[in-house]
Amino acid sequence: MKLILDRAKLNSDLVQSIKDISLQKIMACYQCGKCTAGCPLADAMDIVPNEMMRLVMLGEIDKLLSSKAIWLCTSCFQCGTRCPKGIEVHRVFEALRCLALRDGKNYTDMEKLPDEKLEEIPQQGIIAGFRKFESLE
Amino acid sequence: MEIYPYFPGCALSTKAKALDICARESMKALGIELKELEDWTCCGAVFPLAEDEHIRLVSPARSFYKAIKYSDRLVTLCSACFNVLRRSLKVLKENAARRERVINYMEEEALEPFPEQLKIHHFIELIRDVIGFENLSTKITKPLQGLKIAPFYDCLTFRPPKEMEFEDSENPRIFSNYITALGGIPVDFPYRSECCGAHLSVSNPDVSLECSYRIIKSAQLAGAEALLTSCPLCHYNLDFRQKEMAEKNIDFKPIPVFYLTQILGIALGLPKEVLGFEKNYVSPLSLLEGKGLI
Repeated sequence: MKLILDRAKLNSDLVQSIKDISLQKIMACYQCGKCTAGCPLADAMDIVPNEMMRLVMLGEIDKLLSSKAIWLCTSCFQCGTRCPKGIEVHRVFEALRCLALRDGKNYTDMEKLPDEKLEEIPQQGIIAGFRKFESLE
Repeated sequence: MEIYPYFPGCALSTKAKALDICARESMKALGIELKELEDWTCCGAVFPLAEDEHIRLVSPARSFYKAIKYSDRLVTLCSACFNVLRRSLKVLKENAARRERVINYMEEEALEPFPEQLKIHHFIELIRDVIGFENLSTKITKPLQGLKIAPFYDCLTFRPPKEMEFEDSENPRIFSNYITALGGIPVDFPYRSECCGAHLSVSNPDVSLECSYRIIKSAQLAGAEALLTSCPLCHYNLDFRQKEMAEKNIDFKPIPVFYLTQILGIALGLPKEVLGFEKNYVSPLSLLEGKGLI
């Protein structure tokens, strides 16, 4: 991945929004990778949690907003639990999802969910699924 | 009989009824009444991780105001409800600015001072702290002798540890101790606190199936005959989706997944219609009959 560092990007409104929504000290991350090591979905992600933290630091928010990874995060809180710097990485993921959802991207089409799934899956799964959609396969 | 206000939640009132009914009936047998909170509303299902989403704390707050009229503890069992209620209460207790905003939304529902003395209890905490595991083992009539159960420690009940203030999420013991108290054999396994794939069953079912399959396999390799969970969504992923696991893996052997309260019901000798096994996709009947437990 080729990145051109840009001061404007580093201090952009998007980076500030992520800090405001997540309340996390992004710059405290020293890339140890424990979040990724513990993430049960890392093998399915295009950008793994520690890479995500690094990209937020560098202001590359657009790359993250178009990633699959933010929608594959299940908020199991393992990353934040294991972070030696106390960063709640799951809150940074949520902040990225918020930016996408609030921009009108990736809204769920409830009509696409088959009736039998609606019958079977417990409510908590359906509600959580509706908030974090990429696409129905 | 001691009475505790009880928050069943949506899933336990519909899709996970066995979890609910076994909880109420077992507790009744142990001298405690779980009294359903009048007019409870959905907890919101997902705790708002975004610092600026205040409205989603209103629904839990509403239940706090209702519960405090009866007791300073509110008992719940569903993992999602427990996670949302406990974390919301903590936020509202500790963050005055957010509390004020939420109270402003509630108008006449929140005329009294915020119920700071309220505590959210998980069903298993009630057993550990009020009944006691040692005491419990003297009250059961059918010890789960020889039954090897792998306790699955779901994400929502135990994490994030700083907010849940419950068991050590990296090395939880509580379900193992509970199984031991019921006379069964707890089986530790490497994937005991991995995510089951959760809501990805809605949007990315293949990805979530892989997560659940890893957990089942890990428990089987450790020698488990059954799994145990307190989360309705984990139960769906681990039990119901074994149908797809069997279709995709020719050597797959189904394994029953008990709800947390079903094994208590068995050990207390509750009747079959209370235990609700017809809702378990993989029926535990032949396993239990083999052990002489039903």
